Amino acid sequence: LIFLTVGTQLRFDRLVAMVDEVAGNLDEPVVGQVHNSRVVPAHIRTASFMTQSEYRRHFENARVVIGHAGIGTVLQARDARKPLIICPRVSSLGEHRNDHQLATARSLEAQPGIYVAESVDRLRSLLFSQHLQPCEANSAAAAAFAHRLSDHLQHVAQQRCAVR
Amino acid sequence: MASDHSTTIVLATASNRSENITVMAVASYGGHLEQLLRLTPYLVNFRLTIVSTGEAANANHFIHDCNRRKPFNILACAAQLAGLIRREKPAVIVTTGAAPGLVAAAVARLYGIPAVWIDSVANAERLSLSGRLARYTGAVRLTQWRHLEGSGGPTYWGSIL
Repeated sequence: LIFLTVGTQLRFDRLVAMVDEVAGNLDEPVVGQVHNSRVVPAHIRTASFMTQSEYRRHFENARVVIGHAGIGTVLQARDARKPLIICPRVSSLGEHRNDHQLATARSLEAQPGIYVAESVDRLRSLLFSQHLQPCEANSAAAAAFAHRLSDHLQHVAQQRCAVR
Repeated sequence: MASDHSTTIVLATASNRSENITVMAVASYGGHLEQLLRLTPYLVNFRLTIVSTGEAANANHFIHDCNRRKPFNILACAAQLAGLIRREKPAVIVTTGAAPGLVAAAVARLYGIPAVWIDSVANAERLSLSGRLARYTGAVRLTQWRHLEGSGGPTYWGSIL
């Protein structure tokens, strides 16, 4: 199963169309949470409304998850340890207010289990690949950030005690 | 705080133990709390008290949600945070936003408590409005994007992603 999710705030018809184009060549079911999509996909099983439990079930059952470069999607793929293919939303195409998803996608591309597809060809080669890695549940980056924060908290707390 | 108690804390921290340090962590429910909870597992050496809005299962205390369109809620939120600060006596406050976190940083300042503002990782183009306003609370401001770091602006120490 391949699970497509575009989030619950904005439609992302370009990604729905990209996935639909590849889905026609796959012999694997594709399920999509497509949020008010105006594109009517021929090869994706879509739901106009998906409950949280349905969403979670599809996410859990998926071999690969495809999504926009949203923080929520990335964190969910990490928790579920799924390979994640992301396509950043672009503001010039009216897909978001600004291009912050391009920055997110660039910074995430180096991490295990996260793949960026901005074209149908790239998406196709990823979906046909047998070597996609799952996302890692714990981010080394988060640990490093938290330790730096922890050092700072300890430092300022000690300073306060010393002043008293 | 009694003077003999403070002495204990100085001794404890001098030996690099931090379980006597109370850290109050504040975030509104949703993505902000989600990000805070990615950091708190690494802060277990502190006495951690988590404050959020709504029915978040992982928080120790609940406060009113607020935003700039609901000024009365900002006051209610500030009063609740002041009460929690008096009760929990945190040495430092950490917040990942949004508006309730900004209020927490402002109230912390009134009590002379240092604060750390962590701007949401979703703000990759520009610091959030709350993050820009947090400048006036004297909080240490962190961005999760290196390219947003700047002189007089926020600092970059890393990211949860």
